[in-house]
Amino acid sequence: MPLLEVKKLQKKFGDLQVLKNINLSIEEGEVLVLIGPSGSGKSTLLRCLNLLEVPTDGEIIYNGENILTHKFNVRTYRQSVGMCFQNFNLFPFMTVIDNVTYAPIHILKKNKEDAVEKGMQLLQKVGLADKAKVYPETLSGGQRQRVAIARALAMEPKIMLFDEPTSALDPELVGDVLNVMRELADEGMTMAVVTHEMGFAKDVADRVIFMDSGYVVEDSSPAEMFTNPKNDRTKEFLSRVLNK
Amino acid sequence: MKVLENLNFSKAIIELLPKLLGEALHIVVITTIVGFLFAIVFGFILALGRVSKKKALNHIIILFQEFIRGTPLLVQMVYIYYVMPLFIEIFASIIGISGFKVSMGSMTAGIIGLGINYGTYISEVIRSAIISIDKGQKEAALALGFSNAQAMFKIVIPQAFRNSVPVFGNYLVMMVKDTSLMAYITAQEFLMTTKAYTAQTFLTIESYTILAGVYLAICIPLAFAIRILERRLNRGRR
Ligand SMILES: Nc1ncnc2c1ncn2[C@@H]1O[C@H](COP(=O)(O)OP(=O)(O)O)[C@@H](O)[C@H]1O
Ligand SMILES: [Mg+2]
Repeated sequence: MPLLEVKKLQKKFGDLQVLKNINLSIEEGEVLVLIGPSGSGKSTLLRCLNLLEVPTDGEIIYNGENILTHKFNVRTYRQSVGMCFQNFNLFPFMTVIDNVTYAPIHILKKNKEDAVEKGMQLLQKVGLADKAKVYPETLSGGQRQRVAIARALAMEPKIMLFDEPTSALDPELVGDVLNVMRELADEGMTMAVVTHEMGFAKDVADRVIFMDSGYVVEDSSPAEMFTNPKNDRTKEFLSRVLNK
Repeated sequence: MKVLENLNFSKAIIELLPKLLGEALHIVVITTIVGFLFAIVFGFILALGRVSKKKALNHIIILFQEFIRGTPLLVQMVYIYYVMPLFIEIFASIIGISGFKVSMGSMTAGIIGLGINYGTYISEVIRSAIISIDKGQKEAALALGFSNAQAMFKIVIPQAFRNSVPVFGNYLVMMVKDTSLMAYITAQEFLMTTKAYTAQTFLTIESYTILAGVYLAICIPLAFAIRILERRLNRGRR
């Protein structure tokens, strides 16, 4: 049974149909990379997966349970789904360590020492233990994103969603963030990653999905996707991004 | 210039200043503190009503705000002081309580008037501060597993409040000065006290100069203190 399964998912904003009949599944421990042109609905799909957007139709099955039914506990579900945004969205009025420990303390009701101890381990892991006491404003974009990853991990999620985590970064800062994500993948974290970093997709992904105009156009292994794409739109997109 | 030769500041200072710094100061300070806290709480409630998704509530609050902004504070105070008690008495007699007398203290009326009036303006400050917080903040909180209300109260509103503090400070200084309007509803604040003193002594120039000086002596340090507080709060902001 897949950890997460999406069936015939649709999302409309008013009259604009952004997701049209999306089907996909993510196995536990799998790294799924979503690629596709801007505006194709990648962010919307990812946001549907933790219900920041409510789908207009279809099903999302998590651990065998449809998360779109009324009785489903959205908050508990979101605690097990970590999300990293393009713009980090750190809480600017809290220090780095407070950003990381805030949710464990207030949601999981962890005591402060335990939360801080765990938080420091996570900051260590993303290479920012020395920045624990500073405010996010003093950090570079790459550092902020790594704090955001630590913050999400502090909730001990079962799956991590990344929406273009490196798109807002200066090129020289991208590597540090991707390395942290690579490490996570190696540890067996289930991940869904929207990215334009084709190198990352090739090396780390178990499966790559190409989306265009609200459809999943192609869903295959990275080797298949990058050496032998089937669909013309996939070919056209890949030739454009790979030859840049 | 006979008038200038007859100026007697020392007399006015010795006699008037203790009055101003006694009972009158007490009234001004209490009215401002209580009135301002009331204004913030009230403004906050209005702002929450305005950012809520309930259309009917939005409209009621907008109507109320227009009503407050379209009438002078002085008229509002006079209304609360003289007219409200009558309404309450009429209402009491309608529900069958006869001979019910209401007396509204001038300070109470002042506090209510200032609180409602300033709260209305402050609500707009808080509202725009709330909507100017990046949507990503709320989403990050939701994604971590906070409820909507928690995301609002723990993440969005603390930032909105912090951003509003400089404006709050300006309103606080304005409120100190607007307590002078309470002279019209018989409160023995600075203006009323000074007026009474001039009526007895005819030391008009001296008294009102002292009065102006007292306001300055309060408002300038207050504005300064607020600026320091603001700088403190600015630490750790993006
Ligand atoms: N909240 C929204 N309201 C209206 N339209 C939206 C909203 N979010 C996204 N869209 C539209 O949905 C389409 C897909 O957007 P998005 O999912 O962000 O694409 P991608 O992440 O692949 O670039 C775009 O046309 C975008 O304008
Ligand atoms: Mg996007």
